[in-house]
Amino acid sequence: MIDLILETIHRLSGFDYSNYNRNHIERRLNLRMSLEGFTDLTVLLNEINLNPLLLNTILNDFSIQVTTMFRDPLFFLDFRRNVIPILKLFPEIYVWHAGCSTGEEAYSMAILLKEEGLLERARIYATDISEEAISKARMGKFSLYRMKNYSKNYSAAGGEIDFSEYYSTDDKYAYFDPSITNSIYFHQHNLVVDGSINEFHVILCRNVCIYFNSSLQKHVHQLFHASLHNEGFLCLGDQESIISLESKKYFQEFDAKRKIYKKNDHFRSGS
Amino acid sequence: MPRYNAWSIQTKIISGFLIIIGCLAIYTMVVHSQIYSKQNEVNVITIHDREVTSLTNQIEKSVLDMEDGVRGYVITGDLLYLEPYTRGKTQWQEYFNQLYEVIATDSFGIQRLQAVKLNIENWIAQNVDPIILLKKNNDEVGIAKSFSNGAGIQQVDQIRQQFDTFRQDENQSTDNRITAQKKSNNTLIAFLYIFALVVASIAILISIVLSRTILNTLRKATSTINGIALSNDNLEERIIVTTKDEIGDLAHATNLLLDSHQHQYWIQTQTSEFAEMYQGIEDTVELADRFLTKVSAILNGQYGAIYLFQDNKSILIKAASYAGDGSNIGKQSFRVGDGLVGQCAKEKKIIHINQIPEEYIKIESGLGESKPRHILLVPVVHQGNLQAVLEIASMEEFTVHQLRLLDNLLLPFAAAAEVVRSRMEIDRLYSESQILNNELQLHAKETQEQAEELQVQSEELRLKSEELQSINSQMQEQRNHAQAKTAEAEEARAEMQLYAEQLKVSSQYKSEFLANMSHELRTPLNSMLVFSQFLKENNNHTLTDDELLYAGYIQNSGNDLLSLINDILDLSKVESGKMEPNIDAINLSEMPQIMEQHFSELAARKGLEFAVILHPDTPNLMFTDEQRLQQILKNLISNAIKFTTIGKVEITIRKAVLSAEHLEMQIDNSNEVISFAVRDTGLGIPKDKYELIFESFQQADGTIERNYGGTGLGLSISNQLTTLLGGSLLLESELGVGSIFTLYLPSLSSDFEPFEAAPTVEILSSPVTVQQEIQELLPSEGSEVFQGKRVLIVDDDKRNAIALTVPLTQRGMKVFVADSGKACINILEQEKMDIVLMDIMMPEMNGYQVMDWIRNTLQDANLPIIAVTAKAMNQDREKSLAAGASDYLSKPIQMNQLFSLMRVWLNKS
Repeated sequence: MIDLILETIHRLSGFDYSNYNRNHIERRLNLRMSLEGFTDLTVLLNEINLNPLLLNTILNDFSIQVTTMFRDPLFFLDFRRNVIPILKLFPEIYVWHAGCSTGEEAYSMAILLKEEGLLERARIYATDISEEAISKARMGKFSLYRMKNYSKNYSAAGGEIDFSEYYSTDDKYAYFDPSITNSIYFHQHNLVVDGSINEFHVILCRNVCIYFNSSLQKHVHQLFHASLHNEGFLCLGDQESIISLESKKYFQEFDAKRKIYKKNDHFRSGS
Repeated sequence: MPRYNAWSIQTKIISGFLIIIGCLAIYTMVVHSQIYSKQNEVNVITIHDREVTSLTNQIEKSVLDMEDGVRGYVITGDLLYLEPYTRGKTQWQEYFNQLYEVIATDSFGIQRLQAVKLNIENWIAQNVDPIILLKKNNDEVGIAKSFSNGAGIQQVDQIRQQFDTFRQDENQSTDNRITAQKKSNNTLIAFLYIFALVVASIAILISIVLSRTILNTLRKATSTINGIALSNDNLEERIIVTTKDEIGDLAHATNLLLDSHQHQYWIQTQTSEFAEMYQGIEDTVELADRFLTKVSAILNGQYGAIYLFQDNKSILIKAASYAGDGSNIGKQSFRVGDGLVGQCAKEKKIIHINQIPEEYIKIESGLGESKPRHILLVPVVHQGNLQAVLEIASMEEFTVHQLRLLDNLLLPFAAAAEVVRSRMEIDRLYSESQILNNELQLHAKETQEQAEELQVQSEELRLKSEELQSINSQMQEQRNHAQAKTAEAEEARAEMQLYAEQLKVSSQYKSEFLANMSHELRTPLNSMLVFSQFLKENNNHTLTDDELLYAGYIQNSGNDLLSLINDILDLSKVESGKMEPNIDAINLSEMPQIMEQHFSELAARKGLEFAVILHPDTPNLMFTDEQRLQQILKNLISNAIKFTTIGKVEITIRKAVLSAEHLEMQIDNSNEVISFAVRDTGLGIPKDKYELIFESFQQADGTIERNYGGTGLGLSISNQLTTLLGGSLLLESELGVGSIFTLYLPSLSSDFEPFEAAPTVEILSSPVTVQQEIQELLPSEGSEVFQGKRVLIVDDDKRNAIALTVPLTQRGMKVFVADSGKACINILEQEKMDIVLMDIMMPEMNGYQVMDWIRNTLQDANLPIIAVTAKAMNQDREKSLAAGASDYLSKPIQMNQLFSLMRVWLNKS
């Protein structure tokens, strides 16, 4: 039944979720059904066909938009300590944040690069499957209540000045400084079907692949390998790792604790 | 003693008893011989006595027989009677000889006997034999004659007598002998007693010596055993064997027992040490490594390796090696059955090799290398399952104890290895499950957030759709109204603009009117003054003294009026923006001179001390409008002199201690600020009048004008001019002590734009009044977020607090100020705050402590606290956050940043 729903979604929206972690998809659909008051999946399938709004809602359901500034601060701290010195050697730095959701972590990375004096020669591409999330991210404005704990994260991530210097507020939202927002290019991108978009020095894909099944994970890892500069870094979320043996061939551990990997350039994907 | 020690106890006891028995035998023999000799002596005495008596009696009888025989023969002549005679004659000789023999030893007896013998012989020869002869011859007469003289009888009596004497003597000597015998008997008894005593002594001595030697060794052994028993850990001690007897054997046996006990104990302690070591180890490799290190040391192994059995692959993988760096020594892995290790694993039997194969590893030390002599391969088996194989190579042969210990260690090690292995497995499963759990939690959290967001979204959607509907229905209506509204709005806007322009124009008119009026007024006034001057000069001397006095009054009043008009003119000029400061360099070092020139005389007239002090750190030049500066100073100084009746007026010029920022000046920090402090010892100004005196036409007391004159515009103008020059004017005063007016003026560049005049006076006073007054003073502006919010500023430097008070009040917030941590606590105990700005560096109780108090003692976890830290002090920030700060802000505070942060933290959603 779920296969049928996913296929319908694929047909209607062009998004293929068949390789997503099946438990995750099931949880999302069940949640949606209980919120909408549907009794079983057949009703849901019917509604999806009839109601484009519901389709959109479900698509948003599938992509988890939970993110915070400097999420997992120790990752940013170690990235700053260990990866940045290497990045400083490159004349220009391309960063790809895959699955950026509403962009908080992309902004965090921009702030980090700015403090390290690298923002001017860096280009940050932030992509997500959800167009809605991307448009939110592009605006660079965040609800005030979400800003409350970012100072702590920022400080724990090794922030050097006041976090409040990076944004201004009105009564409802906080707006990031244009020097930050202008350095990030937000695009819609589907990891499942879209290919490589450039050659990057850093690819961040944190807590995205955990929603994929292992064959999709493998596919995504291959994509990253192909998109990575020979000296580039792949940063995954703290809950995930490159588990499959095949993926292990593409990357070697750089910082196992923070899930930072280096490209294994002895192995070329596709060849 | 050593020789004696070599005897066994049996020998000792037997020999002791033998000595005693020997002594007793000697004693018995002595007693026996003594008794025998005594018996002999008694016998000798009694037999000798009897024989002497009997023999003497025999001899006497023989003599009597002979006498009788002779008599019979004589009488009868019958020869038959001669028979007893002849028998007697032969017998007495025989008896005599016997008697001689008996008393051979008695010389005195022999002498006597010889005398008796002689008598007998004489008797026989003289009286017997002749008579016989006579008879034979029948000579009766001769016989009668011989009898008649009686010679024979006399002789026989004599013999008898002699024998009696002899016997008496003999009895006497027998008595003597018996006495001597008695004496010697007594001596003998004494001797026997002494002898018995000696034997008894010897026996006792022997028993003492014997018992002592036996007991000594026994005691020694007992005390050593006791010592060992009492001291638990002293297993090294042994019984020292000095003897070779049974005790020695016992000691030997005990020592052997102790030896075995010690070994047993060693094995036990080692086993328990190993068991202890296993605790807390969570990794089989570490376990193997530690086990190997320890076991190698115990077995004196120079090389060792442990191969852990991988169950699923049936392969043995090296987990640890001893005396090697892990990678070099030994093969990394063995299959079961391969090599000795594999063989050992397969058979699960100990392999002990003394013949080392050629290619076996050599033991290397710093100085050389040699091959081990002994190899031990031991399988580690737990419940029949092979866990590992241990290989140890040693130069020395493994002792029985080592092997026994090893045997004892293997089982626990196998069990520990099994435990660790299963624990690792559990850990692995647990961490996997934790990752899954985390993921699950993450999903749950996300789900929840998503649900919340979705609910909001759906609510919004619903509202939007409703709105859309109503919008649709209203659309038409609105469209109709729209045009009308637009027109109305346009009209209103135009009207507004008109009003605004009218207002502007009217304000300008007012100022212009004032300016013109003043100008218009001044012209006739000037003529009035000139003419009154003429009158006063009285060149024609036509005026009376009274008239001169009136002329003087006219002039004075006119002068007053002129200065009033000048003041009004200045004021209106400033207000209407017509006054443009003329910025130029002025020489500050000249200021004292100028001021003294102006005021020293006036002061002297009032009897006041007047001093102008130029502080050494004052720069020589500053850029400002000299004329206006002088105007302000003159105003302040003349006021000071005016209101001071006794004491002094003192002007201090120096570089400002306070920065421009502290003074809320709208200039860059880079500009130098000069302070001009005018201090008097006059009336002083009450605090509630501070604000008032800066307003036009006001003095502290309504009656003052009458007492001191003046328009009351001076301070107002000074204040306006100060603002115009970008400075500020501060007042500190105490009633009855005096006042200090301090003018802070920045050094400006010539291309500066004049500042708009606005009331900028600040009052250093209690926060509540400041807040109230400023609130009255300033129109509230800004968003609703700040409206009515209560802010507590905690800062020991009041100036900082006041600098923040104004902009916060402007946005409609109620500002409270605490100048110490204690004050903050006092306020928070009574008042509820919406947000706290906390300075970290404060004396006594610093910001961390206050925040800690708020979070832990007051238990207010939600009150937003913004820590104000020194710039670029990361540690302060971390510490602040740890102490409970919600956020942080670096000094100097940027107002925009502060407002941003406050919006975030005052946001209730």
